[in-house]
Amino acid sequence: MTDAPDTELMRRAGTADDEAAFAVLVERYQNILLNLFLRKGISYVDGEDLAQRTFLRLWRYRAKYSPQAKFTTFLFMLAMQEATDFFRASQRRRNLEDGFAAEIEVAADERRPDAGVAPQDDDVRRAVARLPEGLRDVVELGVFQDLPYAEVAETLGIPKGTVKSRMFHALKKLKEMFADERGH
Amino acid sequence: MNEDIERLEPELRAVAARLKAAPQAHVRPGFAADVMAAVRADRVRAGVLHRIGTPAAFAAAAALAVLLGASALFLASAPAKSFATAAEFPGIGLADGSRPTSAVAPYVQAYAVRALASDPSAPSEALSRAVAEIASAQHADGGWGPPALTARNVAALAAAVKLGNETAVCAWKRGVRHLRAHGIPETDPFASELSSAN
Repeated sequence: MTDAPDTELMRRAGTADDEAAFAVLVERYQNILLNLFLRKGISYVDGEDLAQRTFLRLWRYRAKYSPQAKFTTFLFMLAMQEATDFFRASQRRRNLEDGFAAEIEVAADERRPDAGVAPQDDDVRRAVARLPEGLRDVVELGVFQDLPYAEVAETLGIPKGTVKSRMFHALKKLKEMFADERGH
Repeated sequence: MNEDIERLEPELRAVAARLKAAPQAHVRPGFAADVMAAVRADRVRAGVLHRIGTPAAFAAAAALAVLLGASALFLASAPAKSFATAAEFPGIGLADGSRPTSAVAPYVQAYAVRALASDPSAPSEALSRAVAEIASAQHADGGWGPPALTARNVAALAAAVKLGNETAVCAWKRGVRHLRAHGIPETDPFASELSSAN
């Protein structure tokens, strides 16, 4: 079953509530989702949390998945929604918290025995996280997830031409960031 | 790289190649198992909700609500030490950390986690399963509905975090934020556990 295509695994999960098939999808995409969230500037702990939430959302929507659509388009759409919800909630929390959360964040991260699994000196992740959201999402899907422009457009709900121009501007901006780093 | 990226000018293609070659992070061991535990808990919850939604179950649900209120009051007043070990839960099926079927399950689950966390002989998998049940029931705002239930769950998760339980960390952190945001006073009976967990 581990070699079965995504669409087949999703079909089994959707029509027969096949947990084993779904578990293969989780294994297959867990690191991909984690890295997607990290490149949005989200912490490791929250990134794992969002990855879990994305999979839960995928399970709840399994019956709505149509095999005609590419699985990754469906999955990344859910992941992007999770990230959007996370940033909205963070914005609301920011008005309520008094710095206590930051202390918890550090304490919780330090408590993890495997804290530091994420590459610490990853200049690429930092640079991508600094891009404006619209450009960053296009790079995430088009470069890191290797989706063609048409699928990026479908996932983000924007025209293909917009994807093309955002990709151009994003890569140009990243090139300048990397050049600045070398200059220092 | 896909064809669209291949068609870019060489300098931009090189940037894309550098991005692709960057080191990747990995989830902690056991992450997938935790996700599947959450999925199973979600299935159970969805099944219960479906049954409760039927007209035939409506009257029973009303009666159950009365029982829930009485049970919650009893559990709230019961000293924690009376639930000192996991062995005291077999009658309601919690010895293995699984969710009890009773309507007071959310409250009992918190006590189960605390009991499992305080019993050195309890298997860590049981604790992880019990923690996963609580984590999967957490609302988007970090709480669990009633403040009394949220306080109990946060205290239970704090006990698990102190034992180094990975599953508990995220849920505990969000729960603490929720308590602070809603001004739960420090005189809360679980405040000492929160402080020591910090």
